[in-house]
Order: sequence, then C-alpha cells, then structure tokens
Amino acid sequence: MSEFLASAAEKMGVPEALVRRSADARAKASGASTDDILSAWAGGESAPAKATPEAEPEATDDTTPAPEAEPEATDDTTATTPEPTPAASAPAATATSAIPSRPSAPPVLVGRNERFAGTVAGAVALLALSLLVGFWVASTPADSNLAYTSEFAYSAIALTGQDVYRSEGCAACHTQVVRPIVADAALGGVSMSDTNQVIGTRRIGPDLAHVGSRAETDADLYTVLDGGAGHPPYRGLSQGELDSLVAYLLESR
Amino acid sequence: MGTAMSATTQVGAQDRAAVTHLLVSSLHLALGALLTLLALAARVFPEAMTGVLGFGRLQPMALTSIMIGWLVVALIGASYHVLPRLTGTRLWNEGVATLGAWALGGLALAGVVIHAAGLGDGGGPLGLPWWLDLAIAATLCVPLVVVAQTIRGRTETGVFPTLWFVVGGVASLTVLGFLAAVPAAPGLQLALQEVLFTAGFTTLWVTTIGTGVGFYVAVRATGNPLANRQLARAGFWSLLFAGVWAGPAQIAFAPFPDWLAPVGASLTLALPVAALANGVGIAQTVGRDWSEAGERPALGALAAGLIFTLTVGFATSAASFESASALVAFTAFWDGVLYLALFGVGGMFVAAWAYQTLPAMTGRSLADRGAASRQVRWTLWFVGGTGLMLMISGVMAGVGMTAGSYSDLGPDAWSTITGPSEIFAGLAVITGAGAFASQALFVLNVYRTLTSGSVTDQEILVDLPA
Repeated sequence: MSEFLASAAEKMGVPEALVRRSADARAKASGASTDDILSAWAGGESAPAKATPEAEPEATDDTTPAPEAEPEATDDTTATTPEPTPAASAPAATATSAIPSRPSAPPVLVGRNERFAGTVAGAVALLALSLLVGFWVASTPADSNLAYTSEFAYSAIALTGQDVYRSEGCAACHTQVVRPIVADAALGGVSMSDTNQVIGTRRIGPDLAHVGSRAETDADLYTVLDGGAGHPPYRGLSQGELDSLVAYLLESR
Repeated sequence: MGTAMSATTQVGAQDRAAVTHLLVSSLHLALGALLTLLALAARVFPEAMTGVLGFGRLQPMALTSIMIGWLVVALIGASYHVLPRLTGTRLWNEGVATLGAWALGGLALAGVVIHAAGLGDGGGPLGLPWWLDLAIAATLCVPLVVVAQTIRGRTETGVFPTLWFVVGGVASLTVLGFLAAVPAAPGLQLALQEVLFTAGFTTLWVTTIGTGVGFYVAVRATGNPLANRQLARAGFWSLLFAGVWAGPAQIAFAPFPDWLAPVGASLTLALPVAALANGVGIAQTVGRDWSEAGERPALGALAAGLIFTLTVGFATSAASFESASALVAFTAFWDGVLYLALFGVGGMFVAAWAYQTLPAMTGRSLADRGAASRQVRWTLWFVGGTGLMLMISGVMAGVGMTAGSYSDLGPDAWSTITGPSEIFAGLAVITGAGAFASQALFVLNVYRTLTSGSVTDQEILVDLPA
C-alpha cells in the first residue's frame, strides 16, 4: 500500500497523511478497500463509487495534524473529478438536470485543530467594546459643553418639521453642524455635543445649522423648496408638511 | 426560474440555500445598481430629478437594496456554500436557511418601497422605520444560528481560515443589525450610529466574509495549498481591530469627544494591514496560476477584489488622519470609498465565489465565460473609475469649502465654491453607467446559468438523504 500511497501523494501533490486519511474516508463511503482507492488514485483514476448515496460522514483523524491543503485542483466548469452514480446517470440525459457526482477529493479544506470559542468570543468582545466606546460613550453629551448649549428650543410645529426633514432625506445632502475649522468659520456658532439638530453625514448642499438666521423671510425658504436656487422642488409635500419644515428651518438660528 | 430551482433542488439539495441566496441577491443587485446609477445622476441634476427620483429618497433606497438585499444575502449564501465543505457536515436546517434569503430579500424590498413612498423616518443608518430595522435585525439572527449549529455538528475538526472569517463576519453582522435598530436621538447619536454602521458593514461584513471566501476560492480554483496560515490570521484579527473605527473620520470635527478621532485613526491603520496580509496570503496561494486570471473569471474577480480591498484600506486609513479628514469629512470622498467597498470589494468577491462554484452548486456550466471575464474587466475600470471620481469630487469640495466660506454669499455661492467638484460628480455618472452595465452582465450570467447553462458535473460533498 505504501507505494500506492507515495505514488498517489506525489501525483496529487499533497502530503501522504492527508491522502491516507482521504482514502480511508473514501473507502468507508464507497465500500471499496483503501488499497483499491489508493491504487486508483495512483493510477490517475477515480475511486469506485457506490450505486446509491448514503450518509457520508467524512472520516477525520483528530490526532493527526492536518495539512492546509486541498488535494485536487478544481476548475470553474468541472468542480470535481466526477464519477456519475448510476442513479444519477439517467436524469443527466435530460436538459433540465445535471450529473450528481461523488467527489474524488476530500470534501473539506482542512486546517489545524482548534476551537472556535476564542474566535467567536474575541470577535464579539472586540465589536461590543468598540460600540460601547465609539457609540455609547462618544455620543453622550459632555458636561462641559452645557454652558454653551446647542440644543435648540424648537416649537411643536418645528419638531414635526424635523420629522419631515428626516423622512424626506434632507440629511442626505445637508448637514446641520458647524465645526471648529476654517471651512466653517463663518457659518455661525460651533455645534456642541448636546445638539438636537440632524447632524447628517454628507454636505452636498449648504449647511443648515443656522439657516434661519440667513433666510430673510420665510418666503425665501418656500421658494427654495419649490425648486429655486438650484434646489430640487418638493411639490409632493402637503401644505402642512411644508409649513412645519419651513418652521423647523426658520427656528434653526 | 422555476426550472432552475427545481433542477437545482433535484440534484443537490445541500446547496439549495446557497443558490437561493445567490438568486435573491442577484435580483437585488439589478435593482440596487439601477437605483445607485439614478442616485448618482440625481446628485448632479437635482432640479430635473424630484419626488421619488430625488437624491434624498434614491440614496437610502439604493443603499437598502445594495447593502441588505444584495451584499448581506449574497455573502450569507457564500457562507452557506463553504460551511459544509469546511466542516464535513450538512448545513443545519436547509429550509430555515433558505427561508432567510427570501425574508431578507423581502424586507429589503419593503425598505425600498417605504423610501420610495416617502415613509422612511430617517432613523437608523438606512433611514428605515424602527419596526423594519428590528425585523431585519431579528432575521439576521438566522444565519448566526445556522452557522453555529452547523459548526456544532462538524465532523472535520481541522479549521481552514475561511471558517474564522465566516464566524467573525456572521457574528459581527448580527451585532451591527441590532446597532442599526437602536433608537437614536437626532443629534450626535444618529450621526455616529450611521457612520459606525457603515464602516462596520464594509469592514466586518463585506471585507471579512469576502476575504474568507477569497481564501476558499484561491485554494479551490488552483488546487494549491494555503501559502501562509499566519498571514491569514493576522489579516483576520486586523479586520476585527479596524472594525467600526473608520466611521468617526467621516464626520470629523463633529461635536464628539476629542479622543474619538485619534483613536479611530489609529485603529483604522489595521485596515491596510489587513488588506496587505490577506492580499499577500491569497496572492501567494494562487502563485503562478495568476497567469490564468485573464481566462478564468473566478481568478480574475479574486484579483480585482484584492485590488479594491487594498485601495479601500489605504484610502480609508489615509483619510482618517486629522489633516486629511479636515478636508474630506462630510464630503463625497466617503461616498467614493463606500462605492468601492460595496461594488468593488463586495462585488468582486461575490463574483469570484459565484464564478468558481456555480457549476459545482447547480450542475450547470457557467453560461458565458467570456461575459464573466468582461464583467471583471469592466468592474475594474468602471467601478474603480466611479469610486475615484467621487473621491476626487469630495476632495475638490473640501478644498472649495476650506478656501472660502459661503455663508454670506447667498444661495448661489455654494455652487460657485463647490463647482469644480461637480465636474467630477458628473464624470461619476458616466463611469457609473459603465459600472451598471458590468453589474447587469453578472446578473444575466447568473440567471442564464441557472436556467439554461449546459449540464455539467455537480459536486456532492455531503450526501442527500436516501
């Protein structure tokens, strides 16, 4: 058997331990002897297969360190070296079915024995810690900022307008945040961590943190929302939605 | 479709869940790619595209379809495909797994419809109503349970590195799903929630699962042994360390604590490290077979995926430092990075998996190998071009904002200051059309393979019940 094993290992280009393990598994699944399997592999032929499929628990050897290899190359169109089972050969002739075939290579890309618990625990712990620090802690308003609050005292209608602002996706183009950098120098008071405006994440259009102080009249805002100044028209909004949205913008001063 | 599914079920039930996920995700790719192209156009022509075609609605519609409907579903499918082959056992509860594909696809479609109707509430990263966020988060528990139960029943005790990536990615996705469902206040919390989710999604889901599948495809396509397990390990843990930390740089100088940006920038350095470690590991594994990448679409897509991963890793890390983020925070630069991560990294790793394994899963030859190779080339040019144009557009906008403030110059001042960036945003529409064509090629190829691909040998790794 050893010459077959060596020959098969050389032919397949993988370590003998893996070939032996694979041959044992194949023999168990197909009913043939390990020698026959190895002989077939050494000769470059597929191993004999059983006529009907049955449960195939692929044998693994926990005590043998498994090499990180897969014994046989596969191709995009021929994924395995097939040997059609008799049961499958008949439907293969039809146009709507294919040829189920047993693999001549082990079904798994084997690696080294190790437990998953560390990987799972590490992954979840890292992410949980990241979110705890990056989301929970970071989004808690700092006490020192409260002397210079950015929490706007919006009226009820303005808060309704904020809902319209959010649901219409205004924040996809507009920010409501003034940063302490040159680019925002003339935009008004810098936003503090207790802000209740919709900060947004992209500034494709002008910032609206203090838009109320730049609009001379509410008519200016109605004009913009009707398609003025290069802004897309929002004619699908009801008058109530439009009024509340304008109130929200006007009270953002 | 019916013919395809019945044929698939007939010959290989162990891959039914994976094939269903590929099918559902491909339908969402077709929808999401079109919405993305429209959103690119709506950004440049805001006066002409209004209502349901306005950017404010198209953008979340596109993201919902692409992120949830396409990439979540497709990469879950890839995980379901590799799991039995790495564990030596059948996928746990194929029926539930398959149902998960339709559930997620349906929820994503519901999200698109809700945004189209203007019924989104602007809450959460995708702007969906809370109940839909919660439903998506709950459904994301399905792959977690399926993966965990399958691994519990494994007969193969050796662990191939792809399993780390699958386990880490699926566990992270579940956590991210619940992060998205947390009710957030409109201020800082909502902004942080959005950027942390986006960064986590691209790093911990798209790149992690994509890379894991990349290792699998590299070995399966070439027959070469894994070149270096330690590189894969370094790449995997680097991805987990980078995690969500690319997020804060997108909104740099927003009123969050001073320590957040430097911490984020430091940890984001792990992203190029991961890209390099995984890229070198996969490249070494493929070795001399790279010479066949032009003729073998799976290898070509794998190479393209690695190129995009490196690009995204280095661009993200570079833009996270204070000096750079002062320029590009809040700009389209990050849209370009996101575009490359979703359509470049995600798109190419999904394509590598599909092109390599469709015959094995379905018993049908890939319908058009030429089209598959063409799709890879087009993706490199057009998705790469679109991402680059958006990134340049963002840099130009940042330069414009820094050069002069617009607050006292009236409404037209904004377009004056950001005018040059609009040129590149316009170019992104043109390249985006090419990218859409490449995505359509992929969808058509998958559909044609499932319905009319010529019969070929099918891989049965874990037997069907008698």
